[in-house]
Amino acid sequence: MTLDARVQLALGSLQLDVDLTARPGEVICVLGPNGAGKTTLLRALAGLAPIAAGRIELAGTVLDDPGAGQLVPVEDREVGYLFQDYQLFPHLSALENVAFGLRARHVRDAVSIARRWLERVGLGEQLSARPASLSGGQAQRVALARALATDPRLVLLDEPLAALDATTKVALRRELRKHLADFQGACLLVTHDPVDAAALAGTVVVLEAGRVSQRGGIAEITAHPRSRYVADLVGVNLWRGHAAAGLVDVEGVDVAAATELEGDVFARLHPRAVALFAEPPHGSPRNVWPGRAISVDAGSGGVRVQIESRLPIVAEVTPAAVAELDIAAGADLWLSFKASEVDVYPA
Amino acid sequence: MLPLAGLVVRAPWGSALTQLRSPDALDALRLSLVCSLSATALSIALGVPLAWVQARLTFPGQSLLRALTTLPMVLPPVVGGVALLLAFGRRGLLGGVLFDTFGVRLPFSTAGAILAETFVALPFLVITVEAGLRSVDVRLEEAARTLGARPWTVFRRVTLPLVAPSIFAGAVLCWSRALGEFGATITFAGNFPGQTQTLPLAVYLLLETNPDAAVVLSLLLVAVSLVVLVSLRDRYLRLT
Repeated sequence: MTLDARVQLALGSLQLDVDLTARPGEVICVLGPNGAGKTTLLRALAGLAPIAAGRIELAGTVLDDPGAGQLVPVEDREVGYLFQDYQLFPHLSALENVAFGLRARHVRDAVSIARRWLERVGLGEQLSARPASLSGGQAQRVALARALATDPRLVLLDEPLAALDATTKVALRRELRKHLADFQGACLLVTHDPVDAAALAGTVVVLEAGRVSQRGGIAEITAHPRSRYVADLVGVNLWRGHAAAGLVDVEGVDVAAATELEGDVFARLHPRAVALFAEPPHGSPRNVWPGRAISVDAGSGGVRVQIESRLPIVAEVTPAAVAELDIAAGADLWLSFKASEVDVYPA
Repeated sequence: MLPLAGLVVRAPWGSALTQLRSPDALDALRLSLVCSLSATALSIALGVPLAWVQARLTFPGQSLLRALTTLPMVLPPVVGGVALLLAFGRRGLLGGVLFDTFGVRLPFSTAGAILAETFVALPFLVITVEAGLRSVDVRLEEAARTLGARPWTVFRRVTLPLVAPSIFAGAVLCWSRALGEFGATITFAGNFPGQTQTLPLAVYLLLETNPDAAVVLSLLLVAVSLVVLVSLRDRYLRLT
């Protein structure tokens, strides 16, 4: 039940071009900003948006191959789809919503299978409830049960946790993890929350402007971001430049780094490694820049100061340091960081 | 309000029931019910697919089709009757063929009265159902398809139940318009008691011979229209 897909299609200003493989039981998380094409990718795999070029193969069956004139209609694909706003049928009970796919596929005992699914997601008491009377978390569980009840070969989850409040989200993330562990087919999960990716997915695919900008395990991706988007998600400084003789040339600015790499590189710097001073500092750091604070925000790990300097840079310092240095937006200051704190890896 | 008050004041309340029970009035009433209900059924059969086509598909000439569909709403009904004669009359575009091939004669028959009423009342159903279809989220239909439902199942189990209130409201509007139809019916179907003489036609004729009966039948039509509007207003039609 492996998914093997090359999806190419244009929709408005979006040019989607994605290569994707998902093995049975594997959960792949598609992470990306709004408008990157995440939902369009799912719609293409489900057959709701036929691809212009490429090929989609699931469990040995070619679902979509424009070159060969092959197109399996949506209803024959055996793909479970959890829509972002669930799209539960408002005129049917929770039970009938879950039984819908089983009935459409002429499965015997549709109702008893649907009942078992609702009991499994903890809604055994809400069988006859209409979607309008369900809470957000309950509606999400019904939608999940409906998507999984037909035992699809591939399940597509579009922002399954986005519409929930913080408390419900934590509980449902744990439940979702459990259900996905039991699921035999391949799974694609779209999210813009890296916490979801870390908790639910084995492999993360970062989608930006219709292209995969990075893929791999979540640890690898957060350790070595390869785009501004991922760097911002993780909360680190990231520059792209040219390394030579222990210096990284970023748009004409030399950043001293303890590296022996040569050529195109990424340079990553954690905000905590940046020290701030009121006067030019003396001492060992090789990177000492003058700058001006743009914004000062209290974060969970400390106070994040955005600084306009030779390069835009974010520093994370303690509240005590902010008070002592009297840092406010617009304040002139000096910053320094050690060459050894700059992590350099090939672009 | 004043014309209504006139009807109420001048109504022969004492003999109202007797007037309603006269054979002519009963005939007209029965015929009106048969024709208007048949016209409503025909409108649903033709109008729901037409509304679906207009709401769900995009094709060249769509705005022209929409204009043609709603044209009978603004066309003088007499003109509609003339147009029907030219199409379905003995020498009409289609009428000749119908008669020669099948022996079917539509003008000046009960079937003709039904056709005339359908012609005038159909747009009321189409625009109501089309609006209802547009308010159904197509993503619900997509969800049904991902669950394995074929197009007809999607329509029957998702679209139709969700659009049913609009079909009901459209059918009631359509029926009340058909019930009151005068111009197209008298032009195309004529005025034969028991065959094509519906209530409005009977009212028009009775005004010469038996004004009291005409007033009573008019009040009946007013009452039907009021009941329809009041009952639909709150539940299905968003007039405000």
